[in-house]
Amino acid sequence: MADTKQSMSSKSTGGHDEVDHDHAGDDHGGHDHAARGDHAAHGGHAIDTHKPNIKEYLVIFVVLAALTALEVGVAQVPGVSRKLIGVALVGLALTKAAIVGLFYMHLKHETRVLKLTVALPMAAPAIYAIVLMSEAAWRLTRF
Amino acid sequence: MSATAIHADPGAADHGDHHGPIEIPDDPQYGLASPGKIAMWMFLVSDGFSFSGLLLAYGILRSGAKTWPPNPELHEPHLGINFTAGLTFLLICSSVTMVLAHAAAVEGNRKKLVGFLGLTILGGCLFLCGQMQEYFGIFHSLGLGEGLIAEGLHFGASSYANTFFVVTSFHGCHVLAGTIYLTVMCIRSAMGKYDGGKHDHIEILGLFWHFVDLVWILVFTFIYLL
Repeated sequence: MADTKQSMSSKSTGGHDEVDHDHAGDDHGGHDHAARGDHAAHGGHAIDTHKPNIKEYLVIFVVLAALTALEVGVAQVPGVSRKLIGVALVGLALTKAAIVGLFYMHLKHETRVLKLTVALPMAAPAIYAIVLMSEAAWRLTRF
Repeated sequence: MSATAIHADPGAADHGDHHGPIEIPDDPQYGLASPGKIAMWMFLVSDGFSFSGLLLAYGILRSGAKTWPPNPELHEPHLGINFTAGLTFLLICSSVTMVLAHAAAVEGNRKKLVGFLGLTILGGCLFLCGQMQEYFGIFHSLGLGEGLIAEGLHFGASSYANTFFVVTSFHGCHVLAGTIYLTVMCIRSAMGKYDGGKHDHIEILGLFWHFVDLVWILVFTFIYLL
Protein backbone atom coordinates (compact mmCIF):
# COMPACT_ATOMS: atom_id res chain seq x y z
CA MET A 1 0.00 0.00 0.00
CA ALA A 2 2.95 2.27 0.50
CA ASP A 3 3.29 3.03 -3.17
CA THR A 4 -0.42 3.66 -3.42
CA LYS A 5 -0.29 6.11 -0.57
CA GLN A 6 2.64 7.86 -2.12
CA SER A 7 0.73 8.24 -5.35
CA MET A 8 -2.10 9.91 -3.44
CA SER A 9 -0.01 12.87 -2.36
CA SER A 10 -1.31 16.19 -3.59
CA LYS A 11 1.90 16.94 -5.41
CA SER A 12 1.99 13.69 -7.25
CA THR A 13 0.26 14.90 -10.37
CA GLY A 14 2.81 12.85 -12.19
CA GLY A 15 1.91 10.10 -9.78
CA HIS A 16 -0.77 8.85 -12.07
CA ASP A 17 2.03 7.42 -14.14
CA GLU A 18 2.58 4.95 -11.35
CA VAL A 19 -1.03 3.87 -11.40
CA ASP A 20 -1.63 4.48 -15.04
CA HIS A 21 -4.38 1.94 -15.60
CA ASP A 22 -4.88 2.51 -19.25
CA HIS A 23 -7.66 0.17 -20.25
CA ALA A 24 -7.07 0.68 -23.95
CA GLY A 25 -7.64 -2.59 -25.66
CA ASP A 26 -8.76 -3.96 -22.35
CA ASP A 27 -11.66 -6.22 -23.14
CA HIS A 28 -11.78 -8.22 -19.96
CA GLY A 29 -15.11 -8.92 -18.35
CA GLY A 30 -13.28 -9.69 -15.16
CA HIS A 31 -9.92 -8.08 -14.69
CA ASP A 32 -6.27 -8.70 -14.70
CA HIS A 33 -4.93 -7.96 -11.26
CA ALA A 34 -1.36 -8.53 -12.30
CA ALA A 35 -1.58 -5.72 -14.81
CA ARG A 36 -2.81 -3.33 -12.14
CA GLY A 37 -0.05 -3.71 -9.62
CA ASP A 38 0.25 -5.65 -6.41
CA HIS A 39 -1.73 -3.22 -4.29
CA ALA A 40 -4.83 -3.83 -6.41
CA ALA A 41 -4.29 -7.58 -6.39
CA HIS A 42 -4.20 -7.54 -2.60
CA GLY A 43 -7.52 -5.81 -2.24
CA GLY A 44 -6.06 -2.34 -2.07
CA HIS A 45 -7.22 0.65 -4.02
CA ALA A 46 -6.15 2.53 -7.05
CA ILE A 47 -6.92 5.76 -8.83
CA ASP A 48 -8.97 5.80 -12.00
CA THR A 49 -6.55 7.88 -13.98
CA HIS A 50 -5.56 7.22 -17.52
CA LYS A 51 -3.17 9.78 -18.86
CA PRO A 52 -5.07 12.24 -21.08
CA ASN A 53 -3.71 12.28 -24.58
CA ILE A 54 -3.93 15.90 -25.75
CA LYS A 55 -2.72 15.05 -29.25
CA GLU A 56 -5.43 12.43 -29.62
CA TYR A 57 -8.08 14.92 -28.45
CA LEU A 58 -6.98 17.42 -31.08
CA VAL A 59 -6.91 14.79 -33.83
CA ILE A 60 -10.46 13.78 -32.86
CA PHE A 61 -11.51 17.42 -33.01
CA VAL A 62 -10.19 17.71 -36.58
CA VAL A 63 -11.93 14.46 -37.54
CA LEU A 64 -15.25 15.64 -36.08
CA ALA A 65 -14.99 19.01 -37.82
CA ALA A 66 -14.15 17.30 -41.13
CA LEU A 67 -17.05 14.86 -40.78
CA THR A 68 -19.41 17.77 -40.04
CA ALA A 69 -18.25 19.56 -43.20
CA LEU A 70 -18.68 16.30 -45.11
CA GLU A 71 -22.23 15.92 -43.77
CA VAL A 72 -23.20 19.41 -44.90
CA GLY A 73 -21.71 18.68 -48.33
CA VAL A 74 -23.37 15.26 -48.66
CA ALA A 75 -26.78 16.68 -47.65
CA GLN A 76 -26.68 19.12 -50.57
CA VAL A 77 -25.32 16.86 -53.32
CA PRO A 78 -27.67 17.18 -56.30
CA GLY A 79 -28.83 14.31 -58.47
CA VAL A 80 -28.39 11.55 -55.90
CA SER A 81 -31.21 9.49 -54.42
CA ARG A 82 -32.42 10.99 -51.10
CA LYS A 83 -32.49 7.47 -49.64
CA LEU A 84 -28.82 6.98 -50.43
CA ILE A 85 -27.98 10.38 -48.99
CA GLY A 86 -30.06 9.50 -45.92
CA VAL A 87 -28.12 6.28 -45.32
CA ALA A 88 -24.81 8.15 -45.71
CA LEU A 89 -25.88 10.90 -43.31
CA VAL A 90 -27.11 8.49 -40.64
CA GLY A 91 -23.85 6.53 -40.98
CA LEU A 92 -21.80 9.71 -40.58
CA ALA A 93 -23.84 10.86 -37.57
CA LEU A 94 -23.51 7.50 -35.81
CA THR A 95 -19.78 7.49 -36.52
CA LYS A 96 -19.41 10.97 -35.01
CA ALA A 97 -21.51 10.00 -31.97
CA ALA A 98 -19.40 6.86 -31.45
CA ILE A 99 -16.18 8.89 -31.71
CA VAL A 100 -17.40 11.35 -29.06
CA GLY A 101 -18.45 8.49 -26.78
CA LEU A 102 -15.27 6.48 -27.17
CA PHE A 103 -12.66 9.23 -27.06
CA TYR A 104 -14.15 12.26 -25.31
CA MET A 105 -16.35 10.34 -22.87
CA HIS A 106 -13.49 7.87 -22.36
CA LEU A 107 -15.61 4.77 -23.01
CA LYS A 108 -12.56 3.41 -24.82
CA HIS A 109 -10.78 3.19 -21.48
CA GLU A 110 -13.66 1.64 -19.52
CA THR A 111 -14.24 -2.02 -18.83
CA ARG A 112 -16.28 -4.13 -21.22
CA VAL A 113 -19.11 -4.34 -18.68
CA LEU A 114 -19.47 -0.53 -18.53
CA LYS A 115 -19.28 -0.29 -22.32
CA LEU A 116 -22.06 -2.86 -22.66
CA THR A 117 -24.09 -1.21 -19.87
CA VAL A 118 -24.23 1.87 -22.05
CA ALA A 119 -24.31 0.39 -25.54
CA LEU A 120 -26.89 -2.39 -25.15
CA PRO A 121 -29.79 -0.23 -23.84
CA MET A 122 -29.04 2.36 -26.52
CA ALA A 123 -29.42 -0.31 -29.23
CA ALA A 124 -33.11 -0.70 -28.27
CA PRO A 125 -34.30 2.67 -29.66
CA ALA A 126 -32.45 1.92 -32.90
CA ILE A 127 -34.39 -1.33 -33.26
CA TYR A 128 -37.67 0.44 -32.37
CA ALA A 129 -36.88 3.07 -35.00
CA ILE A 130 -36.42 0.51 -37.76
CA VAL A 131 -39.60 -1.39 -36.83
CA LEU A 132 -41.91 1.56 -36.12
CA MET A 133 -40.78 3.76 -39.01
CA SER A 134 -41.09 0.84 -41.43
CA GLU A 135 -44.59 0.22 -40.13
CA ALA A 136 -45.56 3.89 -40.56
CA ALA A 137 -44.14 3.92 -44.10
CA TRP A 138 -45.95 0.67 -44.93
CA ARG A 139 -49.27 2.14 -43.73
CA LEU A 140 -48.70 5.07 -46.04
CA THR A 141 -48.52 2.75 -49.04
CA ARG A 142 -51.65 0.84 -47.94
CA PHE A 143 -54.08 3.61 -46.98
CA MET B 1 -14.11 -5.38 -2.24
CA SER B 2 -17.05 -3.05 -2.38
CA ALA B 3 -17.65 -0.94 -5.45
CA THR B 4 -19.49 1.67 -3.44
CA ALA B 5 -16.91 2.58 -0.87
CA ILE B 6 -14.71 5.56 -1.52
CA HIS B 7 -11.80 5.93 0.84
CA ALA B 8 -10.11 9.20 1.41
CA ASP B 9 -6.35 9.34 1.53
CA PRO B 10 -5.42 7.61 4.79
CA GLY B 11 -2.52 9.97 5.21
CA ALA B 12 -4.84 12.95 5.15
CA ALA B 13 -6.67 11.91 8.30
CA ASP B 14 -4.25 14.07 10.28
CA HIS B 15 -5.42 17.16 8.41
CA GLY B 16 -9.11 16.41 8.60
CA ASP B 17 -9.30 16.57 4.82
CA HIS B 18 -7.92 14.65 1.87
CA HIS B 19 -5.66 16.33 -0.64
CA GLY B 20 -5.07 13.76 -3.34
CA PRO B 21 -7.34 12.00 -5.75
CA ILE B 22 -10.02 9.86 -4.13
CA GLU B 23 -9.24 6.14 -4.10
CA ILE B 24 -11.67 3.95 -5.96
CA PRO B 25 -11.91 0.21 -5.27
CA ASP B 26 -10.90 -1.94 -8.19
CA ASP B 27 -14.27 -3.46 -9.02
CA PRO B 28 -14.44 -6.73 -10.98
CA GLN B 29 -17.09 -5.37 -13.36
CA TYR B 30 -16.58 -1.63 -13.47
CA GLY B 31 -12.82 -1.44 -12.95
CA LEU B 32 -11.73 1.85 -11.48
CA ALA B 33 -14.80 3.85 -12.51
CA SER B 34 -16.04 5.83 -9.50
CA PRO B 35 -19.63 5.38 -8.25
CA GLY B 36 -20.30 8.97 -9.33
CA LYS B 37 -19.15 8.23 -12.86
CA ILE B 38 -21.26 5.08 -13.08
CA ALA B 39 -24.26 7.03 -11.72
CA MET B 40 -23.77 9.72 -14.38
CA TRP B 41 -23.63 7.04 -17.08
CA MET B 42 -26.90 5.58 -15.73
CA PHE B 43 -28.48 9.03 -15.86
CA LEU B 44 -27.19 9.60 -19.38
CA VAL B 45 -28.63 6.29 -20.56
CA SER B 46 -32.03 7.27 -19.12
CA ASP B 47 -31.71 10.74 -20.67
CA GLY B 48 -30.77 9.06 -23.94
CA PHE B 49 -34.09 7.21 -23.77
CA SER B 50 -35.90 10.53 -23.38
CA PHE B 51 -34.26 11.90 -26.51
CA SER B 52 -34.83 8.59 -28.28
CA GLY B 53 -38.55 8.79 -27.51
CA LEU B 54 -38.80 12.26 -29.00
CA LEU B 55 -36.74 11.35 -32.06
CA LEU B 56 -38.77 8.17 -32.53
CA ALA B 57 -42.00 10.19 -32.49
CA TYR B 58 -40.48 12.49 -35.10
CA GLY B 59 -39.33 9.53 -37.22
CA ILE B 60 -42.73 7.82 -37.09
CA LEU B 61 -44.63 11.02 -37.95
CA ARG B 62 -42.26 11.77 -40.80
CA SER B 63 -42.32 8.21 -42.17
CA GLY B 64 -46.11 8.28 -42.14
CA ALA B 65 -46.37 11.61 -43.97
CA LYS B 66 -46.73 11.88 -47.74
CA THR B 67 -44.64 15.06 -47.80
CA TRP B 68 -42.39 16.77 -45.27
CA PRO B 69 -43.37 19.38 -44.14
CA PRO B 70 -46.75 17.58 -44.13
CA ASN B 71 -48.89 20.66 -44.80
CA PRO B 72 -47.53 22.46 -47.90
CA GLU B 73 -50.41 24.96 -47.74
CA LEU B 74 -48.94 26.38 -44.51
CA HIS B 75 -45.77 27.44 -46.37
CA GLU B 76 -43.60 26.60 -43.37
CA PRO B 77 -39.95 27.62 -43.73
CA HIS B 78 -37.23 25.08 -44.38
CA LEU B 79 -34.58 24.79 -41.69
CA GLY B 80 -31.26 26.49 -42.40
CA ILE B 81 -28.38 24.02 -42.60
CA ASN B 82 -25.36 26.30 -42.72
CA PHE B 83 -26.18 28.32 -39.61
CA THR B 84 -26.92 25.15 -37.64
CA ALA B 85 -23.73 23.52 -38.94
CA GLY B 86 -21.96 26.48 -37.32
CA LEU B 87 -23.73 25.70 -34.04
CA THR B 88 -22.66 22.06 -34.38
CA PHE B 89 -19.06 23.14 -34.88
CA LEU B 90 -19.39 25.39 -31.83
CA LEU B 91 -20.48 22.45 -29.66
CA ILE B 92 -17.62 20.32 -31.00
CA CYS B 93 -15.20 23.13 -30.06
CA SER B 94 -16.72 23.26 -26.57
CA SER B 95 -16.26 19.49 -26.27
CA VAL B 96 -12.56 19.92 -27.01
CA THR B 97 -12.18 22.63 -24.37
CA MET B 98 -14.01 20.33 -21.96
CA VAL B 99 -11.60 17.42 -22.48
CA LEU B 100 -8.69 19.86 -22.19
CA ALA B 101 -10.19 21.10 -18.90
CA HIS B 102 -10.27 17.51 -17.68
CA ALA B 103 -6.67 17.00 -18.78
CA ALA B 104 -5.73 20.15 -16.82
CA ALA B 105 -7.53 18.74 -13.76
CA VAL B 106 -5.58 15.48 -14.04
CA GLU B 107 -2.41 17.52 -14.41
CA GLY B 108 -3.40 19.55 -11.33
CA ASN B 109 -3.17 22.86 -13.17
CA ARG B 110 -5.91 25.06 -11.68
CA LYS B 111 -5.32 28.03 -14.00
CA LYS B 112 -5.72 25.93 -17.14
CA LEU B 113 -8.68 24.09 -15.66
CA VAL B 114 -10.56 27.32 -14.95
CA GLY B 115 -9.57 28.77 -18.33
CA PHE B 116 -10.80 25.79 -20.34
CA LEU B 117 -14.00 25.53 -18.30
CA GLY B 118 -14.54 29.24 -19.00
CA LEU B 119 -14.15 28.62 -22.74
CA THR B 120 -16.60 25.72 -22.51
CA ILE B 121 -19.12 27.98 -20.76
CA LEU B 122 -18.61 30.53 -23.55
CA GLY B 123 -19.37 27.80 -26.12
CA GLY B 124 -22.58 26.89 -24.26
CA CYS B 125 -23.68 30.55 -24.06
CA LEU B 126 -22.97 31.13 -27.74
CA PHE B 127 -24.93 28.02 -28.67
CA LEU B 128 -27.92 29.26 -26.66
CA CYS B 129 -27.65 32.66 -28.34
CA GLY B 130 -27.56 30.87 -31.70
CA GLN B 131 -30.70 28.95 -30.82
CA MET B 132 -32.45 32.16 -29.75
CA GLN B 133 -31.46 33.67 -33.08
CA GLU B 134 -32.80 30.66 -34.91
CA TYR B 135 -36.15 30.80 -33.07
CA PHE B 136 -36.69 34.50 -32.49
CA GLY B 137 -34.14 36.32 -34.64
CA ILE B 138 -32.68 38.21 -31.67
CA PHE B 139 -29.72 39.32 -33.81
CA HIS B 140 -31.87 40.35 -36.75
CA SER B 141 -30.56 43.90 -36.43
CA LEU B 142 -27.04 42.56 -37.09
CA GLY B 143 -28.07 41.30 -40.51
CA LEU B 144 -28.98 37.75 -39.51
CA GLY B 145 -32.37 36.19 -40.32
CA GLU B 146 -35.57 37.22 -38.59
CA GLY B 147 -36.06 33.82 -36.99
CA LEU B 148 -38.18 30.76 -37.81
CA ILE B 149 -41.21 31.94 -35.83
CA ALA B 150 -41.37 35.20 -37.75
CA GLU B 151 -40.94 33.21 -40.97
CA GLY B 152 -44.06 31.18 -40.19
CA LEU B 153 -43.01 28.15 -38.13
CA HIS B 154 -45.48 28.06 -35.26
CA PHE B 155 -45.66 25.54 -32.44
CA GLY B 156 -48.98 23.71 -32.67
CA ALA B 157 -49.46 24.38 -36.38
CA SER B 158 -48.12 21.05 -37.70
CA SER B 159 -46.22 17.92 -36.72
CA TYR B 160 -43.23 19.45 -38.56
CA ALA B 161 -43.21 22.53 -36.30
CA ASN B 162 -44.06 20.57 -33.15
CA THR B 163 -41.33 17.95 -33.51
CA PHE B 164 -38.79 20.65 -34.40
CA PHE B 165 -39.55 22.83 -31.39
CA VAL B 166 -39.91 19.98 -28.89
CA VAL B 167 -36.68 18.21 -29.86
CA THR B 168 -34.49 21.30 -30.24
CA SER B 169 -35.85 23.08 -27.15
CA PHE B 170 -35.43 19.92 -25.05
CA HIS B 171 -31.83 19.85 -26.21
CA GLY B 172 -31.54 23.59 -25.53
CA CYS B 173 -32.68 22.96 -21.94
CA HIS B 174 -29.82 20.48 -21.63
CA VAL B 175 -27.35 23.06 -22.93
CA LEU B 176 -28.71 25.58 -20.42
CA ALA B 177 -28.48 23.05 -17.58
CA GLY B 178 -24.97 22.08 -18.72
CA THR B 179 -23.87 25.71 -18.83
CA ILE B 180 -25.13 26.27 -15.27
CA TYR B 181 -23.42 23.04 -14.16
CA LEU B 182 -20.19 24.19 -15.86
CA THR B 183 -20.40 27.59 -14.19
CA VAL B 184 -20.81 26.07 -10.72
CA MET B 185 -17.89 23.70 -11.33
CA CYS B 186 -15.75 26.54 -12.75
CA ILE B 187 -16.31 28.56 -9.57
CA ARG B 188 -15.50 25.54 -7.41
CA SER B 189 -12.36 24.90 -9.50
CA ALA B 190 -11.28 28.52 -9.02
CA MET B 191 -11.72 27.99 -5.27
CA GLY B 192 -9.26 25.11 -5.48
CA LYS B 193 -11.73 22.30 -4.85
CA TYR B 194 -10.20 20.16 -7.60
CA ASP B 195 -6.53 20.87 -7.00
CA GLY B 196 -3.97 18.10 -6.70
CA GLY B 197 -5.31 15.92 -9.50
CA LYS B 198 -8.83 15.44 -8.09
CA HIS B 199 -10.39 15.16 -11.51
CA ASP B 200 -13.29 12.77 -10.94
CA HIS B 201 -15.98 15.45 -10.62
CA ILE B 202 -14.59 17.25 -13.66
CA GLU B 203 -14.73 14.02 -15.67
CA ILE B 204 -18.36 13.50 -14.58
CA LEU B 205 -19.14 17.07 -15.66
CA GLY B 206 -17.45 16.29 -18.98
CA LEU B 207 -19.63 13.20 -19.46
CA PHE B 208 -22.75 15.36 -19.27
CA TRP B 209 -21.37 18.03 -21.58
CA HIS B 210 -20.15 15.54 -24.20
CA PHE B 211 -23.53 13.82 -24.06
CA VAL B 212 -25.16 17.16 -24.93
CA ASP B 213 -22.76 17.42 -27.89
CA LEU B 214 -23.38 13.80 -28.91
CA VAL B 215 -27.16 14.27 -28.90
CA TRP B 216 -26.86 17.44 -30.97
CA ILE B 217 -24.84 15.53 -33.57
CA LEU B 218 -27.83 13.20 -33.98
CA VAL B 219 -30.44 15.96 -33.80
CA PHE B 220 -28.57 17.96 -36.44
CA THR B 221 -28.64 15.01 -38.82
CA PHE B 222 -32.19 13.79 -38.19
CA ILE B 223 -33.98 17.15 -37.92
CA TYR B 224 -31.93 19.39 -40.20
CA LEU B 225 -29.98 17.38 -42.75
CA LEU B 226 -32.32 14.54 -43.68
